[in-house]
Amino acid sequence: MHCYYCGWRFEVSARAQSTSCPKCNRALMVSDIVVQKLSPVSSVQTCGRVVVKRSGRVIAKNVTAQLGVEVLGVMNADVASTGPVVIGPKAQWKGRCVAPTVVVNKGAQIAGYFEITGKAPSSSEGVESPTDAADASG
Amino acid sequence: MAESDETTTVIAAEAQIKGELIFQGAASILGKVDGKITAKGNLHVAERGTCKAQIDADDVEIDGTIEGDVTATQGVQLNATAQVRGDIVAEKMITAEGATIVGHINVGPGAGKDGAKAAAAKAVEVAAATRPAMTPGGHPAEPASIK
Repeated sequence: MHCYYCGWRFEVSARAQSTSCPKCNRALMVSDIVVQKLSPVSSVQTCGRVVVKRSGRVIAKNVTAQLGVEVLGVMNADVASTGPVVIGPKAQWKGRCVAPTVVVNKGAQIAGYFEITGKAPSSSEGVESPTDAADASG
Repeated sequence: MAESDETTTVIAAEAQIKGELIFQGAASILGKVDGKITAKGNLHVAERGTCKAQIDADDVEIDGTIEGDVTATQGVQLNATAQVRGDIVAEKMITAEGATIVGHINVGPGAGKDGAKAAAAKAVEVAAATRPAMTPGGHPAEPASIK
């Protein structure tokens, strides 16, 4: 998996729920995040998936998910995912979306800027990639 | 997209058209179009079809490449090979995995009609802004100056 702060790639146990990045030492959520009710938070970040159920409602500044995002309820945030984004038939989406692929089902309501380019988005701004880090340390 | 009995206008794969195209019914684009497309029925952009155009139609199904804004009063369907660079406004939208989209999306009840109205209003605005003001004699008016 990749650290969503610094982009560092490392391995974790399949059973791990959370871990910390060996490079930047920041805590990382590994497990999937399932939202079943109103969730007004600043940001949602995980190395797994973010699933917003039919009754779920995410109101956040940004959402970062590495394995993908599935929205059946309401998503009101800027989303960056390195996995596929699925927007369900009764979902409501408001905000940016940067992802390699998106599936929109008939009936979804969407308002926002989408960047679906077939390529996984690069790690967040101002962070060094593992290759840069290796070069710096070497 | 639902099949209908009405005839479909086909822009063949070898065709390359520059300008404004207005279809009274369904149309299928297999070639290249550069300009503006208005269709009163279903518009299908085939896998090898390329449009550098602003598209206004009832229903749009995309397998090919579009560079420009797409406004559909009913629905937009993006299949896996679709590539769209531009804004999409539609009442309904279906997107298959693998489609490429870069632009603003406004999809939901009323969005298609509002989008069409907004596009029409914008076109009128642009036309008014670019047209020089005329005097009763038919000559372009001098720009007003403050002394």
